[in-house]
Amino acid sequence: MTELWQGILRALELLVKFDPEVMAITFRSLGISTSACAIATLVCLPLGSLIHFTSFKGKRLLISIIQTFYSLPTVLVGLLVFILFSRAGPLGELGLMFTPALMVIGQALLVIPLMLGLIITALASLDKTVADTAFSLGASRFQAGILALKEARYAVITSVIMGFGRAISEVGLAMMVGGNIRGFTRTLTTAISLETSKGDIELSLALGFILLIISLVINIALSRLQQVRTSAAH
Amino acid sequence: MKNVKYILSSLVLSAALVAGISGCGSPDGSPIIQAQDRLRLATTTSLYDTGLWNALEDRFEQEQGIRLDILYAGTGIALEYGRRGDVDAVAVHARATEEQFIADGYGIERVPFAYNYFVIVGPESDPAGVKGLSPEDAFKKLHDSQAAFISRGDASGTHTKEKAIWKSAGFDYDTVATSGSWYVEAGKGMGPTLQMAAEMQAYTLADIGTFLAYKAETGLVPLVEEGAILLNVYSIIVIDPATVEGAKAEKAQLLVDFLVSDEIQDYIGKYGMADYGEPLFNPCAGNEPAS
Amino acid sequence: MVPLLKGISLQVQSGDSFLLIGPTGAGKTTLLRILGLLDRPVAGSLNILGVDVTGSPDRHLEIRRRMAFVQQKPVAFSCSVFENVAYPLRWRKVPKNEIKTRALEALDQVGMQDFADRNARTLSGGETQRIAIARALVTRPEILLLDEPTANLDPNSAGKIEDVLAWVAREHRTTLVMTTHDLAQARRLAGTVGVIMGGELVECGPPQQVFNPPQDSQIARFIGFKLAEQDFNRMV
Repeated sequence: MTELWQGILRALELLVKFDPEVMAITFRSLGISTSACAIATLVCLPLGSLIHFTSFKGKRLLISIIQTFYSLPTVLVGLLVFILFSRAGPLGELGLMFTPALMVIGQALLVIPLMLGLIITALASLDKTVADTAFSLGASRFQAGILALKEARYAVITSVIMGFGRAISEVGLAMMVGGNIRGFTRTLTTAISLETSKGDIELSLALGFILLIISLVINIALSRLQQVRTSAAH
Repeated sequence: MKNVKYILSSLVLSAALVAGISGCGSPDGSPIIQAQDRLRLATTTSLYDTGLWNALEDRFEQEQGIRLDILYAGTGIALEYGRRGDVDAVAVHARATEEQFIADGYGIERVPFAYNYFVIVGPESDPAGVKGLSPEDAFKKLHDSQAAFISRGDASGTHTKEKAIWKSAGFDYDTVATSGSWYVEAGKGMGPTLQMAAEMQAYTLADIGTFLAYKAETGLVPLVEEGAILLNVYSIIVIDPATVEGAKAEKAQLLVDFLVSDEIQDYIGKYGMADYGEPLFNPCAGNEPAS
Repeated sequence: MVPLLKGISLQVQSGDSFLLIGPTGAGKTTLLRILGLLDRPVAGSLNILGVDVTGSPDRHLEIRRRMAFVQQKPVAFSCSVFENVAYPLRWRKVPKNEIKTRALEALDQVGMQDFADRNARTLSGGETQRIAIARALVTRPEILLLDEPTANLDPNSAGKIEDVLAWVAREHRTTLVMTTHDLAQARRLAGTVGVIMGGELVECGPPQQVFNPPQDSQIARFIGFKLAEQDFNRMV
């Protein structure tokens, strides 16, 4: 017990003194996951709108498949990305293996099914009359799509935040594809898993606290949004 | 109010992106997407867990001005990275496997740069009574008494050595590995495996370097230290660009030269003295050490 | 599959006010939506503003932008009342200052000018109806389609809306196509009245003709019943 307590104290010390390695790892994690989330958002907003508003054969099947990929194991996606981007693999020429850039791509791939599915659900929960009204007032498909996303904005933002949550807390992909290289691709999650398995409890705890705080902030943001959403509906 | 929120969130977002991107770069500020200029080395966990690489990395980067990325992986995985061209050099310790690797054309040559010995470690109480035995006899006793034993189980250099000892003692490895719950395959690096052994009060095979580095916290003791088979040689192999596309052999060679240089060999020979009372490695400057 | 509409042959003159009446479920809204290019008929041809719009949707957007539709239960977008009314203009890339003038003008026409900054979601049913109408009027459509536009309004507001509609029809020669349950309203506003029963257009002509049907026909029964109902409602 004293070991744990001492560990906690030393961890707090690292945090309060803004230990450079801890700070670097934190900002790197945030940067990678935010970038991945941004890419996913740019893809999912138009794609989700398109899928929702177009009727085509196999639409239900497509949405089912997307939902199945929500909780695809991160190591599986990591393995896929590794095989694709390894120098021996088809995209090896790009030389992206073990770089933060590849981690961004990988996390984006991981998050896209989740965000896409949630955005489609958000749009589907809109009153059907909204799109109808837009068309009847002269909106083009594109303009109606933008309106729908705006009308469903709270649910859409929730989808984005959930995507971010998945990105920042995953470790499997970051490990396989980033290599956990000190000073280059080490993130909160990979550092915690390395340091813990090596027994450096203090550093792990410090990083763990930060991850916890980030998760808390995400959750608070999500619940505030829920509140606003339910009050706006009235 | 809505505008304020939008402005605030875009500011936070941009800040995070900028911070992340700059955090991804090296401390001197070079941008991230220059994987092309970075030298990649995959190293065995036992070298990494001793902290030797941490010290050498900074020195090499400063002296040569090349960004060095070190990946922590068991020998098996390290060699696979090498075959795939995802790293430019490997530093491992499984001679037979290394020679096969070079024979297959993936590596140019094997340059030993440090050596030490493996030891069989275990709880101080030594319930199986293996202290002072030869490695082969010790393994025999562990098998017969079904004392808890943690194996690396990961095709690492240490694991390869372990298999060699079992073979030398007259056992078929696969039979041993599946003969009961006393034999545990950890699937982890050397440091974590030692910790696991400490937790379970079990025996394990470890290189002396990592063992010493973890001695204080595991409380395990060396029980078998003598035996020719326990020689543990670390070599660095440059990946052959003729076979593996994109391997940065020139840069890797700089690392090899660095490791066998007098200065660094001296450093290696003294590494660990201050913290553990004895050096963790012996230098061998490119030559295979005599047993 | 039961057809909602059967064999409808209809011509609406430009600038006319065409009022569509009939019992609930007869197909009024369905017909109106087809005319508004919101739904497509399974069979038949459709020609709007001189353009054959049957089948290919290429020219639909262009034609839809010359019309405007007010739903039966209109839905306000979740922004201010002003923004709601400005949307159709933004979609047509109308310049900014013109948007402001026209939007405020449209709100004025329906008597909602004081509500410009209100969150449109907080409005009552009647208020929502009025801004939906403003939202349609703001585009200065050549054809205005309305599905029971005064249904949720008190007599005072309903009267005001009728005045606006009549004015728009007169001043801008806007073609009005409207469904209603209020026969007196039909008599007041219509240039032509159409009666739909059971998915068929059973009568179509000037109000005097339609409101003096052959004694014994189902139309007579419908109208008689409706008039009695409305008298009753007025008394109560």
